[in-house]
Amino acid sequence: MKDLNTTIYDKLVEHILENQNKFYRIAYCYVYQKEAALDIIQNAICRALENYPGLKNTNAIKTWFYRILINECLQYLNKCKREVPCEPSELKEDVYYEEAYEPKLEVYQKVCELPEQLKTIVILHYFEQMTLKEISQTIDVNLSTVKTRLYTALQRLKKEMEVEE
Amino acid sequence: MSKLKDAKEIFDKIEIPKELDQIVTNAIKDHPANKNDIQKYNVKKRNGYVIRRAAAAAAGVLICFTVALNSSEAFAKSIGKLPVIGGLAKVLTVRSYHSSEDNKNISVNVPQIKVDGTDNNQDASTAAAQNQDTSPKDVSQGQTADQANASAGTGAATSEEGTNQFVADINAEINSIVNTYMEDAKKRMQADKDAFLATGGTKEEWAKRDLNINVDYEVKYQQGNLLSLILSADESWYGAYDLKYFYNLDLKNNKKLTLKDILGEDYVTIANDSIIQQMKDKAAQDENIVYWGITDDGKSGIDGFTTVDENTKFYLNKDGKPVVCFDKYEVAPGFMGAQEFVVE
Repeated sequence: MKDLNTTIYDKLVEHILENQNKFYRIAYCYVYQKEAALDIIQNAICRALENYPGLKNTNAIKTWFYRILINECLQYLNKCKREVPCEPSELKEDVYYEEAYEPKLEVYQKVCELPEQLKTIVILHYFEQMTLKEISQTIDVNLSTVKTRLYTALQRLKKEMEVEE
Repeated sequence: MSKLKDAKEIFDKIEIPKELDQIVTNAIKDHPANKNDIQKYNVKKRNGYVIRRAAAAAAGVLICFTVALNSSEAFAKSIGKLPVIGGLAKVLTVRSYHSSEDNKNISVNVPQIKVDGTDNNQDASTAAAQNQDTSPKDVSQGQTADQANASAGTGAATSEEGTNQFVADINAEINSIVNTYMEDAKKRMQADKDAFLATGGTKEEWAKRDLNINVDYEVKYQQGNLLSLILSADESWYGAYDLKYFYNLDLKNNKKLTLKDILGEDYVTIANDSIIQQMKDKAAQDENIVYWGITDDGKSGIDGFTTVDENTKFYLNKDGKPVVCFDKYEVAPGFMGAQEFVVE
């Protein structure tokens, strides 16, 4: 058992070090604030290192860590809802400086404005290239629910884009 | 949804703050679950140095014990030639460790004096010859304690026990000084850290501060029965807590030497005249140099140097001459640092 734990620990650390930028971007999409996102990363790493012995195999690390990360994000939002400056106007300044109008940014912004449940799925699927099955494992809902949510999310985005136009 | 691809592009452009690396590595290395050496993770990274730093720090507390044998060339020669009078002394590093927590380095070399009269001369000269090195502190790892003990001193059974007791007392004193200093230094470091964090500093910033505690010693003179050594301790961030202890030991008569023992009855006059003359000479050569009470015409109103006495700190230089030492601020302005005067 010890050996397995050591292997898992090694893999986990490797995974974290390799993907830290991705993790940061995801966290940032939830809180739009550098310090908050960094805090979340830190907490997620601590949480993961505390609980890694519960992992059964190394293949699960990816989805498992995403789950921790997203939970941390949601927890953060719940805890200090009032403090989070999640105004899309600020977001524009933070993410993209040059253009006054940028259609690409607009979609991104719409994604960010989605309710968390839907947003998570869009981010994981389209930004992180995860399969729907992986997503279902990550957020611990069954596959058909993931599909439904994704569909809802896309519908909503489409509608919003049409309204804009 | 090609537009979502565009959105991904934006997502991928989210700027990564430079702190991220540090935060991630710190979170990993600070975590108690990290029993393993992070060095294993040879992950290729943009900022390779961060990983290396983390690796160095995460190596954690590394303690090693070394037994060292010190010997000046003169000492080695003398031991080979002379029939030994009294117990010969060696200064060994019996306790030496380096530890690094939180990027704070603690380096400690604790000297202990050994006197041993049981082994024969041949062994002693061999051991000493192995260490023929003019540097006063030649740490040779791998010397076993037995070898280190192989000091000479066949004919001195009479005063041996007294010497052993004397040396044991000195060693105990050195140990006690070091232990007290280390405790205090760690407390000061902790207090400093608490204050740092309480006033808005982060753990990461704290970890970046480079703080060191050093305890070390230097053998200044070692000839026959005479041994002169300085024990020093300092913290890199508090100049005020530097400490120096001077040990000038006569291992035949089992006593700590004073200036009087070296210079004779007239030592006060001899030393004072010499020191004051040297102060005046130095001040004459450089207008920036001031010795309070000696070369400032009393303008500073500070006493500065007055006289040597039995407790004056000194060591013996390699010629066996006493060198009188004054702390920073003791006889001169701080910029001049600690002052030393050889009394010829």
